[in-house]
Amino acid sequence: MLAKLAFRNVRRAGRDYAIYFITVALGVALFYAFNAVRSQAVLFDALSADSVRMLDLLNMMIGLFSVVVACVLGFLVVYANRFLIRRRRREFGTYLLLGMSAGRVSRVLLFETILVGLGSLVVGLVLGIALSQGLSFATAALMGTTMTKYRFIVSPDALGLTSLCFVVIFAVSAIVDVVYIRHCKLVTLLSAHEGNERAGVTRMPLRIVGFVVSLVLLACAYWQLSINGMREVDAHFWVATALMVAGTFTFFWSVAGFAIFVLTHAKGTYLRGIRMFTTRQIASKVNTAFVSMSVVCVMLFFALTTASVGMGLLELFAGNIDQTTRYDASILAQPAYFPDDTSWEGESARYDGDIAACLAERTGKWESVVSESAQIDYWDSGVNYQALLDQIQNVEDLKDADVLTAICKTEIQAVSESQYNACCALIGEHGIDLASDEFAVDNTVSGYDTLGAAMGGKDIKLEMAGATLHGCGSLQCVPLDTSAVSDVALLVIVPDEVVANLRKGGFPNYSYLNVMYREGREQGDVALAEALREAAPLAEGARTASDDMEEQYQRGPWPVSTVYTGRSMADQAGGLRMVIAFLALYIGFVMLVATAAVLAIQQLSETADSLGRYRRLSDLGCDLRQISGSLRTQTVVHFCAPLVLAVCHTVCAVSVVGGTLFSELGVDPTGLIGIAAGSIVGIYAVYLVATYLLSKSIVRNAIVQRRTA
Amino acid sequence: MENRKATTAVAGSPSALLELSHVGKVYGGKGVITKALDDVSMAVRKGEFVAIMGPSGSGKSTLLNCVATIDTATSGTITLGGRDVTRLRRADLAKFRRDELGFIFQDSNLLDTLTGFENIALALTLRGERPHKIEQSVNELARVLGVEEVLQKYPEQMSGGQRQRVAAARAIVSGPQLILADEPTGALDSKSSAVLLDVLENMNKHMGATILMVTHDAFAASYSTRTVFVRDGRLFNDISRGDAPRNEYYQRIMEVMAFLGGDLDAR
Repeated sequence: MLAKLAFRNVRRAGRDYAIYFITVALGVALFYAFNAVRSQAVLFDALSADSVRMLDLLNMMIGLFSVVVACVLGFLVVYANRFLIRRRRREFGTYLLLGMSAGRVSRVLLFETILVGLGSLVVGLVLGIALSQGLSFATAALMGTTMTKYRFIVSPDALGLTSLCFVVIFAVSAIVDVVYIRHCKLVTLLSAHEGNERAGVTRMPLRIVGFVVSLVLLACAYWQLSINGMREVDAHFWVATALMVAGTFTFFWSVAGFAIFVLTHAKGTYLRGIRMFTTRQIASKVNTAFVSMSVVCVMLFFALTTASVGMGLLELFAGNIDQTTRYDASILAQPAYFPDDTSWEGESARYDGDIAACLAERTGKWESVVSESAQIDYWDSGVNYQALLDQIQNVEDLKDADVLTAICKTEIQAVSESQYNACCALIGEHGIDLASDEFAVDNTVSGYDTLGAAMGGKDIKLEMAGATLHGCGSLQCVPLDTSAVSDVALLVIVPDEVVANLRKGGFPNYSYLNVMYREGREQGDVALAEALREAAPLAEGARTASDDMEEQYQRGPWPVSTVYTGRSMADQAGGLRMVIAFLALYIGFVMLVATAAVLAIQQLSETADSLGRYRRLSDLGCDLRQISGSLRTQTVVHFCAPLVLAVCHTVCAVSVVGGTLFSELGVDPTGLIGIAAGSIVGIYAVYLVATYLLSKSIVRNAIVQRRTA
Repeated sequence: MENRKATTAVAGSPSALLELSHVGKVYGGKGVITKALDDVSMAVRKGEFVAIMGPSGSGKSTLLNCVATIDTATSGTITLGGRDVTRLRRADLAKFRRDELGFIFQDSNLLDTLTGFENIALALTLRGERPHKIEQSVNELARVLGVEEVLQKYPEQMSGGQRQRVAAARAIVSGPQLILADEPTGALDSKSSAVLLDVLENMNKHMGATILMVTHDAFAASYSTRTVFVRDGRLFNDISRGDAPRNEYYQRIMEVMAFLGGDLDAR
């Protein structure tokens, strides 16, 4: 009997439940699909150790962010449910009045929650399983692998996690509802008027002042953020955050009052058609719901920023992986990683710092693995970049001031002409021929091209190790190691004599040995791993945990600290792209769908509460076209007001990040950010249009029905 | 039509502004049929203030709603200014109400989100009146009807009587052919009722408004120029005030009510 009542209620309140249902189903689908990414990977033909590690990283990150996502969705479910319950206060009041016990009413409610919850969970899981199949193709593409034997996969782990998570959410929501019904007085349930909490905009002067204050607060927030540069979490960052939140709240608290003030003084535009009604309707809505609008705005800001910054980072790892992995492998010797260990110095001195010679002597396999190699040593020059930057005219035009300040304090790294030319020869690049008093700049980070060119200009002088050099006038752009991203930034190439002088100071800062294999990269990696196992044997008792390259040798200060192979770097870059892209999509879309749903539910219930007003308008001779127009304006403003402010926040944040991070790394993410913004606006628009059409049909029914009753 | 009854209407009179002829309204179907209006014919001349009285369920509100085009008659014709409103297409109904009618309802029907000024102005903006003219006519009318001090207030900040007077101002501001009032004093105390009825009488006498008012209150009806009694969906009786003073007219109304039955006060 109770179940029947609950079932009938859900069917009758179908329209109220529809958007809620769809959104929860979408949330479930996204939750499942992203948590199932790891399981889907069994489909892939071949995965390198690095790819597997990236997948595990992704899995961990998704797991971590799923907590946030679960909180957002939990908030949405509880909020939406309370909204629906509040709208039906009267119905529950009537049940109580008719003598139904509070317990039985709660049980009806519980049945309803279970019904809708189970329904959306099942639909969402089906959607999610379908979505995850598509997502695995995207994963494969991003990881540069293939799927020749596709089969349908359902991840039991993700299924369990999703179900558990949402069952908990529904349970919490049901408890909140039941507590509400049990603690509510009958008289409050029954006296529930339609929209009785609504009133006109009051305290006008205060609101006008508030509006100005909010703009000032936001301007200060943007200013603080630009000082902070989004590089670190310092006092400026917290001040900016606090100001932004305070400014957003004040803005929504006051904006309606301000708009009314302006509009009522522009009689020419205000006193036309039902504009007065539309304006007042929006104003009173914004006024009563300013808290939720602010929250929605902040959530949208997070969604937009996550998606934009994510897309920007994606660009970073995108294009030039072929350029950054031109050497088959690079062996890095960096004693600074092992500050307590000095035993290497004698060994290094014995081979005159030559890593290849050392390795070749330690293992007989070296010659059969490596066809050619070239070492490059990075020397501290004892000079800071300040010395070069000071000579460049209008250097501020080339780079942001704070970036320049950071560069100025950095010590110039120098490499010798002959080692540089040897590396060039290895990958078929033209070397350089320096006169004895010349230096050149090598740079592969595209954001520093112009600065690098200016630094190496003919009129720029450089004092180093007792020699006076001047720029050779041309900029070099040759990579000097294999890595995931371009990493040679403003490196100075000097004649060998100068390096010989620097060398008196001891050992190089760090060295790369770039090698080319005799065989292909895949076999070469295996052969190199075997060679290193002999050349740098693992410590006594240590056992190889896997086939990973880095598990095969003992890491030390010299000759082998780390090995970067071309294949592993490509895998990492692809993997990082995937991690970033998926996280950005996951967070961004869940937030977006949740906020859009909150707005839609609010707008629909607002429409339902205002039906009396629309009937009155119709009585006064307002036709349906005008009323639809008013509804359209209301829906658009209700959806766009938080979006516009959130976009302002995002543009500020992203341009700050862009000004520091992206331009330092030489990335132009505008295109990808555009795509992200486009898809976000697209989803938002779908919710907007659906809300408008639904509320239009609610109003039309209410007006037409009464006439034919 | 074959069942023609004696009515007190001035049907067919050329000076009639509103003319109802054999209007019927049937609710329901599938066996259970309720006749809310049964072959009602009557007319209202320009400049009249007609009260329709009847016990609850007598069909007086249905009658008013049919004239207001909020409800549709199932038979007969209703003409206003020579136009048959029962044949208006749905799309034209709103325009018709906007241009030809003014409304005052029991619950005032003001929009709670608009100020008094805006509520009155709405009737004009809907008709596309020029903004600068609107301000002037609203302020002028508010002075005449004594609602100047509530123009900047929201309905919930006004008293019931003030709300109804604002509603009256809204009904007349656009100069409609006919003002329809449905129990305008129903929710008011006797003092506010008297003030509102004075306003209506004033509008009728000095501003040329033609008013059709539904009421169950003999005191309210005594402000009219003619009272029509309805019972069980049919016209029952019709008395004109003529030049009689109000209390005499009131007495005559009370007599008819006593004859009709004492249940008029039940709403």
